[in-house]
Amino acid sequence: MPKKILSIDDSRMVHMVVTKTLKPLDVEVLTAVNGQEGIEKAEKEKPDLILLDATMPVMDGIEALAALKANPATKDIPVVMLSADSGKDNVERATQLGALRFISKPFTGDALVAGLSQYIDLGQKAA
Amino acid sequence: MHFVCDFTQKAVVAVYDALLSLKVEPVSHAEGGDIPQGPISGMVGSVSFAGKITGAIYMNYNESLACKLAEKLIGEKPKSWNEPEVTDLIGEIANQVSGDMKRRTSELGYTGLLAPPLIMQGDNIAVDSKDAPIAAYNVFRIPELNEELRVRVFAKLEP
Repeated sequence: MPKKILSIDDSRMVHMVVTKTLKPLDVEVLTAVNGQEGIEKAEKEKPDLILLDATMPVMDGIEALAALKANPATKDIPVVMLSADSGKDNVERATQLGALRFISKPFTGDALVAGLSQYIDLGQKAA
Repeated sequence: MHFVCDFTQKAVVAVYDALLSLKVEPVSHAEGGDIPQGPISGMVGSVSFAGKITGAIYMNYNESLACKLAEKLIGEKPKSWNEPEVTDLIGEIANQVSGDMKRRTSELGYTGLLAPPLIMQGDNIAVDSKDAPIAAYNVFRIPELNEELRVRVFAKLEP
C-alpha cells in the first residue's frame, strides 16, 4: 500500500516537482491549492504526511497548520512545512504549532526525500 | 551596494540554480536615483512584503525568457506565455526569490510577512518607488538561455 502524501501549495509547479521527485518511491501524492482545501482533503483522505506551504491565498499555511492540529481527525498527521518563507519568525511559528520540520524552497529532490524519510517509510515502487 | 540589493542578487542566483539548474550572472546594478525610470513591459512576477522590512520585488521577463524557463522545468515548450504553467512558474520564482531574500534579512532582524505572488502582463506597467528609501535595479544574464532578467526591489526598513 503506497504512502499518501498531501501536498498543499498554491503553485502547480511545486506539485509537479514534488510528484516528479517522489515518483520512483512507493508514494501517492495528493494535492490541494490552499489551506482550506488542504484541511478538507486531509480529513477525507487521512494522508500519512502533509507537505504544507506557508504563503497561500484563501487560507495560508500557518492558519491551516493551527486548524489541522486543533482537529481530532487530523492532529496526528505529521506536517512538514515546504515554503519559500523561511524567515526565523515563520519557522518558529510553524514549529510552535506542531510542524515537524521546515524545508526551505528552493529545495533539491535529495533534500525533500531526506526530509520526509525521517517521518515515514517512503519505500521503493515495485518494478 | 546596499544589503537588500546584495541579498536580491544572491536570492536570484540561488533560486535559479536550485529550481531550474540555471546559472545566472549579475551583470549590472543601480540604486536610488540611478535606477531606470518609466514604464516596463512584458511579464512581471511580483511579491510584496511587510513588517520590519516593507516593500516589493518585481521580476521582469520577456515572452521568450518566460517560455524558455517553463520549457526548462516541464520539458515541453509552452504555446505562449499565457499558458497557466508559465504564469505559475513566474509567480513561484518571485515567491522563492522573495522568500530567500526574507530569510537573509530576517537574520539581520528585519522580519516580515510575504504576500502571495502577483503576475502582471502588458506594455505599459508603471512601477514607481514612490518614497522608498531603498530602490535597487539588477540585471542578470542567463548564458544557457541567452537571455536577460531585470529585477527591481523597493524597500523600507523599520528603525
